[in-house]
Amino acid sequence: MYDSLLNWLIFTPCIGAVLCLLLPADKAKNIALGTTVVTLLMTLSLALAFETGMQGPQFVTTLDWIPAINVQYKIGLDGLSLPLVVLTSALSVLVVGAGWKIGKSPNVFMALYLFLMSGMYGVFCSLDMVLFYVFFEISLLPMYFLIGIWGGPRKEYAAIKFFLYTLAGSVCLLITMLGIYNVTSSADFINGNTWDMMALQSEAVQALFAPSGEYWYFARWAFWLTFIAFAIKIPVAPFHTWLPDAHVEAPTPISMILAGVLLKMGGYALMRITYPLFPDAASLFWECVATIGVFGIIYGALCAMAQTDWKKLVAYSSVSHMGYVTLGIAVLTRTGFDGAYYQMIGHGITSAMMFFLVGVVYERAHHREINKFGGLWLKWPQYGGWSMLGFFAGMGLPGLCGFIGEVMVLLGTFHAADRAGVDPTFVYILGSFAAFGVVLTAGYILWMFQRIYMGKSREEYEHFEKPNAREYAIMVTLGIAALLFGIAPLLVFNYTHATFENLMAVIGLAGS
Amino acid sequence: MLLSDPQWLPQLMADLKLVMPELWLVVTMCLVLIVPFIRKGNVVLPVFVTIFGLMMALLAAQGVHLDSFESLRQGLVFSNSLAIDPFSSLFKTLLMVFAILVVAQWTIFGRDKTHALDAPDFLCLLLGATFGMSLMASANNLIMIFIATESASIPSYALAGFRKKNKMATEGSLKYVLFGSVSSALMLYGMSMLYGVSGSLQLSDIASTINTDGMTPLMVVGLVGMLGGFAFKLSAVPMHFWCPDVFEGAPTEVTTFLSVASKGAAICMLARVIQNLGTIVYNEEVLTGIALGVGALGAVTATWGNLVALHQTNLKRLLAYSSISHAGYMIMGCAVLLLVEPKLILSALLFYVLVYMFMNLGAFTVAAVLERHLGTLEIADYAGLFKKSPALASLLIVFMLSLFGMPGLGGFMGKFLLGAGMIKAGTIGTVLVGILLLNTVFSLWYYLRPAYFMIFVDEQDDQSLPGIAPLRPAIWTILGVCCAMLFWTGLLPAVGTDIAQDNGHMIVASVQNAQDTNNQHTSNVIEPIAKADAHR
Repeated sequence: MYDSLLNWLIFTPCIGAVLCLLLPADKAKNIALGTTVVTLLMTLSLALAFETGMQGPQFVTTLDWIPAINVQYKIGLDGLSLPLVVLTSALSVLVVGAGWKIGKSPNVFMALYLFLMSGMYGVFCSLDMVLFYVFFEISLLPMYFLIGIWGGPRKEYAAIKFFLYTLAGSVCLLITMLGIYNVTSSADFINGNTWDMMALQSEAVQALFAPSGEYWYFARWAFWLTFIAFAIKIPVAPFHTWLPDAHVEAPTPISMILAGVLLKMGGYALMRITYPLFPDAASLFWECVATIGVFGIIYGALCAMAQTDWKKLVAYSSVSHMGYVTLGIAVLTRTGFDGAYYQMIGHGITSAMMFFLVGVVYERAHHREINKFGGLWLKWPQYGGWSMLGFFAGMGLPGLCGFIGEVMVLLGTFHAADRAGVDPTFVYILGSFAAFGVVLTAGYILWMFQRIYMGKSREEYEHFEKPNAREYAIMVTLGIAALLFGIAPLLVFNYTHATFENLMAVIGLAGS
Repeated sequence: MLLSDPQWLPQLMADLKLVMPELWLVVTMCLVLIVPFIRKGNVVLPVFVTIFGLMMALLAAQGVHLDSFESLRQGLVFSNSLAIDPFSSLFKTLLMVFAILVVAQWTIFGRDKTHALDAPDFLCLLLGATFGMSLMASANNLIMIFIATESASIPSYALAGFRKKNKMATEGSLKYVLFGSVSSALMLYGMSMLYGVSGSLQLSDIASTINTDGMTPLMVVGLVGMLGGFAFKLSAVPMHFWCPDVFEGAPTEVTTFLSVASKGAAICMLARVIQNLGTIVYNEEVLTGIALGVGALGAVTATWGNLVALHQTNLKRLLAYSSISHAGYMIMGCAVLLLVEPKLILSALLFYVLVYMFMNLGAFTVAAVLERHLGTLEIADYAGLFKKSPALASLLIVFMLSLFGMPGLGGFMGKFLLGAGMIKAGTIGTVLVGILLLNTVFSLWYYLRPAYFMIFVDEQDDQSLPGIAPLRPAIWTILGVCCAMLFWTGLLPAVGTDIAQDNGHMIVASVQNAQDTNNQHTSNVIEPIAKADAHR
């Protein structure tokens, strides 16, 4: 029963989207809310039925999709995907709530958003590379329209930039996939080729990609190609330029889901595809990747510090925070992986909350110039309190969800010094820079907080109406989640534990 | 010689059975021309006759079942000049389906008096072109290649200029004729070289000559000349200049027809020539050289088509350049046919043609509707169209996205299968796949242009669009079928790929050199090499 429930989970939003388009436009919001609540309930029941001790995927459905080249429709959930699916479902309800007041054609907005949801679920549940790719790319299209239609003044530019950048990434992935097809179909020991992610992690295939294997040259290329594909999505510093544009132009709910879930696809895919498939290449290039991650942390933080646009600041803070994800994965330690994963969940909550907090003010002030604000706390003390929670969680204050991920990544980075053949000096330098990122983060968040919330209350904001119940509900939910995941990390690690054990074995780091 | 064989009559009958699709087309052509003597100025009757004839041709093409090795041998008819094999049969089936759809499109769009008077002429020309293309798919020796190409081209020239009083149509048609005749001359010149070198018109003999004599300069000149002729039909760079002008000037039905059928047929012909070379020639260097040459042609065509399309503001011209780049993708696929197991590529090509047919038909039908109702093909004039007719705008976006290769739509599956075949061809294949994908990325820019104007840009006040009058149900049916086919091939491609795979083989027969077989009848010394799998 749960197997089919997972299928329904992926396609229920599609049904909701079609309903939104067919039924009268004023019903769309209710349909969308209903759909998201139903999917949330589905997700929760899947989470309850999930056996936490199992390493492999559960609720697996396998069907032949394109028999001619052995492509399967194969979906399932494991510890790596389940928390992100829950995050997606939970955020979706809030995003529909945040988009409640969308003015222009709400039915199309909700329909596109629900299609996007299907895409996100599909990405996290696919166990076949072609299927993964299809969902990965399908999720771009609704996003393009969501930014392009409902966005700010430079929406068209931002939308096409987002689409082209991410598409360039997916094309790198596609080349690798075709290469893998070529490898597996010419290897004698496999019956035909395969795109099955689990089968590709088997020892037989891994032997081909090992330094002694026949396809070592290919594996190194494939590692970088897939890395770039997902690095664009994460986004890792040199490939991040689409993100500030997309975020600044996107409407608030779309920013929330973009930062909250879509970026996580990149990190998830690194853990799901790049690292388990090409572990030897990963350990060969780990210094390079880790440096890129640290560069992202510092660079993103410095950029955030220089922003005068509030939303752009939050957008650059995403670049910086997602740098920890890259770093945590790159250092190839168990703690690093755990930390990177937790950072994704934590950032999913905090970034959505930060964008929402910005959105609440932007809706009233119609500008986001940090220097033109001031004294918001005096105006709305309650809002100020929740803002403090949200931004401090983003900053990584102990006891809130941003802290655990960051600290585990840093610990994981220092642990890397124990790995064989690793130069400890390099690790220490790396770790110090990453830790310095935490200071920078505190710097830009506190400085921003001071300029916007502190000080004298300003006259031009006197007439502002207070956040309404709907807005408070969203803030409070996210705030409680930030607190909850700050004190009870086991909520996530219970689910991921067994799968990560397996993942470490596949990557060949079982001991570390 | 043929008549001295006591078996000639049964042989002839057996051969005729296999060319039934073409025979049906010829008969229908004659019937359509007789119709005006019975009822002048009637559209329904000639259209009915045409569709009936095409249906019969379709069934005949379907009826050719050659799957066993023995019966494949019989697929070579009329002294090996035509090869009737699963590949060509499936292509012919697709061609007939497409021709029926084009006839339907033409019938729906025209309703005036001249339309009715022109009906028999138009349909006869269309059938003639279809006949030529059907032959192109089977052409197996130089003479037949030339005849088939010409009999496909000459009606096409007339079709392109069918809007007699339209300046653009006349210009396009003239350009088409001039380019066509130059490329025919080029092709004939190349063929004469090939004949001079090998002493035979058979593709297989020419390939064997490469084995015995190597790649002589004359052979290279001959092959390049012939490829030049093919490039014209494929609208490959640098023989593509006719394409945008013809597409813009010709009636939309003709544009639709030419953009798919003529390119598909030319691809079949190219694939057959390459398959012959690939099966018989065993010198790896020569094969790599040919693959490089054809691959470069495809890569340049695809890239050039895409680059120029970036600047287009007219919907039809944009689609013309898009079709050039798609031809480039298919040529790239053909190029690696020499280097890998042919079945993969052949079936991918068939699938590609199947999908390509529906996306182009859909896109051009929308273009025709827009041209007729709004009087403009400038994309920028479509600002705000999405609000006025969301269904039509959405359909155009679907077709454009499929042409671009969005997963979930057929266009992606076509490219994906082609890529999966191409990647097996080592470095050349990998580079070609890279070029294909790179092209896909920047083609997105122009494929999204209609969506951009229709949705994102608001209509200007000074020039408001005349609303689109309710369309006839038949138009919605055509568009709906195209859209459904794209989703079907994109989401559940298994049926399509299975059919393509079942038909993804081509017969290649080597006829031994004439001096060895003086005392034997040509038709009896066929030595079929059905598949090249054996030695790869």
